[in-house]
Amino acid sequence: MSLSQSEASLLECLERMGGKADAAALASKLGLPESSIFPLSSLLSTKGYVTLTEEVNERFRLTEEGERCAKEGMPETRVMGMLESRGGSAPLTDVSAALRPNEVSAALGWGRKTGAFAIERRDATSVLVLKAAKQSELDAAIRRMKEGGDTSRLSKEDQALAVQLKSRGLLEMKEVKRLTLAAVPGKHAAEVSLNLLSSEIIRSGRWKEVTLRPYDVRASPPSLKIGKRHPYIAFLEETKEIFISMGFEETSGPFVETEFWNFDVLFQAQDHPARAIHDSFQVRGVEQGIDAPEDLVQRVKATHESGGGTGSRGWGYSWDLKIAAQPLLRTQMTVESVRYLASHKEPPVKAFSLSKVFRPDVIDARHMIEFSQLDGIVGGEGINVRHLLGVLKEFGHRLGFDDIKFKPSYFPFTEPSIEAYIKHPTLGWIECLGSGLFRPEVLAPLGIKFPVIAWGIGIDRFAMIRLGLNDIRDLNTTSLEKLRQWGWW
Amino acid sequence: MPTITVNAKDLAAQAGIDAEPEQLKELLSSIKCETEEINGDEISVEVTSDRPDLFSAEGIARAIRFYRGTMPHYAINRFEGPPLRLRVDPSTEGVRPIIVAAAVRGVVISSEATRQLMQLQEKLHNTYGSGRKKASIGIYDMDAVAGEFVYAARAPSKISFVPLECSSAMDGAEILGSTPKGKEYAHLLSDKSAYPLLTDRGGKVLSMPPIINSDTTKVTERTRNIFIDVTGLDEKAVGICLVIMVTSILERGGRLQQVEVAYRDRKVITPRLDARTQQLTTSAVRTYSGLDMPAGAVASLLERMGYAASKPKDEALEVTVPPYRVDVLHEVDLVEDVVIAYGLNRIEPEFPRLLTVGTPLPGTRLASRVRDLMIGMGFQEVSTYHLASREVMEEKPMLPKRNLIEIIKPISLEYTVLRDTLLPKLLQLLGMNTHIDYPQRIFEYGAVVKERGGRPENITHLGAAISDDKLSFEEMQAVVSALFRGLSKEARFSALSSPPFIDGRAAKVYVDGVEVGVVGETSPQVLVNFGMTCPVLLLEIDMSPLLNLESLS
Repeated sequence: MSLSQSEASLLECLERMGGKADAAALASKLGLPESSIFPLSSLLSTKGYVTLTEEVNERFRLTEEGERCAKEGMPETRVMGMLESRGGSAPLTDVSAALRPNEVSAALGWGRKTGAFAIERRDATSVLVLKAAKQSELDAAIRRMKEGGDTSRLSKEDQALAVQLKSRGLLEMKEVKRLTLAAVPGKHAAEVSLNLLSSEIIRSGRWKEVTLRPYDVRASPPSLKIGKRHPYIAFLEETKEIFISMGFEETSGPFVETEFWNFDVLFQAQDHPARAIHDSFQVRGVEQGIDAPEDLVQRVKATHESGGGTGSRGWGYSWDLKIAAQPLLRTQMTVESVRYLASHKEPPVKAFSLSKVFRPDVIDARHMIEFSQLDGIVGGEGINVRHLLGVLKEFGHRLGFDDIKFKPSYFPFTEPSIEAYIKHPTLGWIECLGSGLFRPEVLAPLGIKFPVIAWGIGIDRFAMIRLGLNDIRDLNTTSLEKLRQWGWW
Repeated sequence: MPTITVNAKDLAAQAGIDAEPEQLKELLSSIKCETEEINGDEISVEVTSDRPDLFSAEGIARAIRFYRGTMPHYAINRFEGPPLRLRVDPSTEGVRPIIVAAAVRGVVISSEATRQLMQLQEKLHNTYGSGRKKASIGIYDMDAVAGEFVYAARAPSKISFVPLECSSAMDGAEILGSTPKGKEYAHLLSDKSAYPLLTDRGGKVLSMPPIINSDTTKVTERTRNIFIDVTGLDEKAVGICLVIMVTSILERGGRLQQVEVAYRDRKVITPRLDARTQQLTTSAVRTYSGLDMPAGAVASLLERMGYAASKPKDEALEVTVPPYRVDVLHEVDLVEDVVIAYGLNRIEPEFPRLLTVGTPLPGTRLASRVRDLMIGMGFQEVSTYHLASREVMEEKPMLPKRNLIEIIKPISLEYTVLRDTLLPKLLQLLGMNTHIDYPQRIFEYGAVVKERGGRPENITHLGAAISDDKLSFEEMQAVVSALFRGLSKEARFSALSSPPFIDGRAAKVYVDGVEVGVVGETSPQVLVNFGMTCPVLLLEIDMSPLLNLESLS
């Protein structure tokens, strides 16, 4: 059985004192109050390291008065000395003055009893007269008992004398419990164990003598409030890393866009349903105006109206600059892909962007009006559908999804348009992205003379799967409790 | 994307195949129709909005016949005879100026066919018709009326007919006010003083577009001759709707009779079903799809998608595009159909071999360093929305009313403006977590929107908050100092007196002599506004002046 540090030091001390000592002696040796020895002793005894014997003793010790008498002599002895020095007698008043008031009657009583001196009347004065030379046996006794001790250790005679001294208020007696500890042979303090290792224990070298008490390691520790990255943001950072490691340049742009960049450059007709006010957030508080060169604006206009020499029929309507100049919150990150192309006209290009887009929708577990999208492009001579499938397959693989399949789809700015589905072990096939080759009607006005593949990934769907969420709003949870408890991998 | 419902037996019969609903699923997915749900014989199919020819069972069955090679090429069965005549009165010009029409003679319309027709009409209304505004379609039993037809606008009080499914005649205002369709579409006419009306030679009403037909021209199972009109504001949308309606009905049989529409100044024959041709070369197929195949192979793939291709000449094909393929604008649209016919999942993926350098955005390294430092100081990262309410951005934090970017038609009162500072969002979050253990230490590293150079730009900010039972200003000040020491910079402070802070307990933060942010203790009134009873220290730093840290020069 292991010992606490205080139990161990008590046992150690006992061994140094020869294996047997009483509590009082141990207390003074250890510099502890005697009261603290008792519980430790009983613990050591329970653990089998010591046997305890308890005796009740009567202890005596001199009172303050008694100690003075031990030094100066008993009052009767002092009276004898005074009478002898005065020629055998002295006036009673002189004797009384030489003693303390409470000593007078005891001294006179002793003289009367032993016949050593007596009071006589001389010339109307009380005089104490020496009758016989006697010696008080209490004198020697009180000196013997000066140190105090157990009454039981006194001789029979001394015990009787002690009672006399007590009756004269020179000695007091008290019952005292005495606890004696005896070390059990073969049980040593070396088996000591400690709760806490401390620098003192390491510095002193005591660690060599002790063992460290085992903890209940299965018990729950207290919970910590630590600083942590937000899992959603951390996940988005990871996906960015995937594209950067594949040689893509990250690009970005403002939330507040113009219809021109968000829709017109992407060959979405101005009467396209997605441009109606219910599918994008038009905003106020910003000056209208298109931040694009005039020749680009003119080429986009011509492409919408008649194809503008792109080999297309165009949409066949009258394009309106006012509509194109309206400010709105970007609805797709593809706007950053075409902005990138506008300033990177030489192949090869590989770029991606990942940030928030905004679309009006009924807010529920699957829809939020503000959400993240990851768009990317690869452009260069000879780039085609096979490379689009190749990039998407590689991205899926790097996110941990090896099964991917493709379906034809429709997006106004790509042709062919392709949707991809990834296979999740429990959720099955999940639609995760839209992609395609940018239409010539998109590329030609930008001055891009090589094919460009493009895709847009609803990255929040992946985030929800990776973070184990069923509600898209939990990606931006406001619950501090959830954030503190959130673990993911 | 529109979802349409078809009957499996009807679809299989029209497609000339013998297939169970589950077997149809695979076939449908080959022609760009995604099966959503199978419920007995009812199949819900999602189609793409660029393909209105697939908005009904007739068009889907046609695509299946082509795909299976059981139909050689597309042709329209025409009625031999003069076109019907329809006169457009100039009174429609400010009301609903465009009309096109057609008739289909000798067709048997089963109840399933009727259902498909109604569904097709509704899907076209919702997509190309923009909710009947740009285009709305009317279908009539032609034997109930006698051409020539007149399209005119009349004062509501001068209109009187029995609307569809009603028992008595109503005037224009009553129709808008009391019939279900009238109420639903009243907004399309309510600002007009005259309503459009389509009548026959004898003045019998066919319909009041775009609201409702008359009851007497209702199409039933006994109907053999159908008249169709499309009215609207947009010539292109109106034309597409008519072509799709007519080509779909013709799949059930019958012959097309065209209509000559006479405007004040011109005459047009509708529907316009001119054969369109589009050139396609094998090199275009290779360039876009990566598929390298001879022209003959491309031609046979195109035929499976319903096109007719000429004999190849110099690896070039002249492709005839059926009139219902309104989505084909460019040769690349044909390449997509080649890919679909070939099978998208048969194409071998290949990672592009382009040598490029991966580059993160400027600010990525700084962001990572700052976030690490904040986390090291025990702050939990939070991510709040960029949208907020004016109440959160202005009233509660007692910040001045200002020119925030504001959504014109918001969806929710909580999300109406773009944030230009992070602090109110952090206070709002803390206000929602007053029951959670304190101390609370949070930070956000994200974008706010502010005007820079005349345009609203995304600016990266760091915001942080500490909340606890007792706090002193220097606890956050120490964070600022430690943060910048971690970036080998020194933060300096000067007194600031501004909401949401307590006077005398806030400071501007300077780095390299440039003001980069604020730190301070939140005023009790602001705390109360956000529902808090614990003190809050705040910090906000504009990271953009620190971006130069990433450069070694």
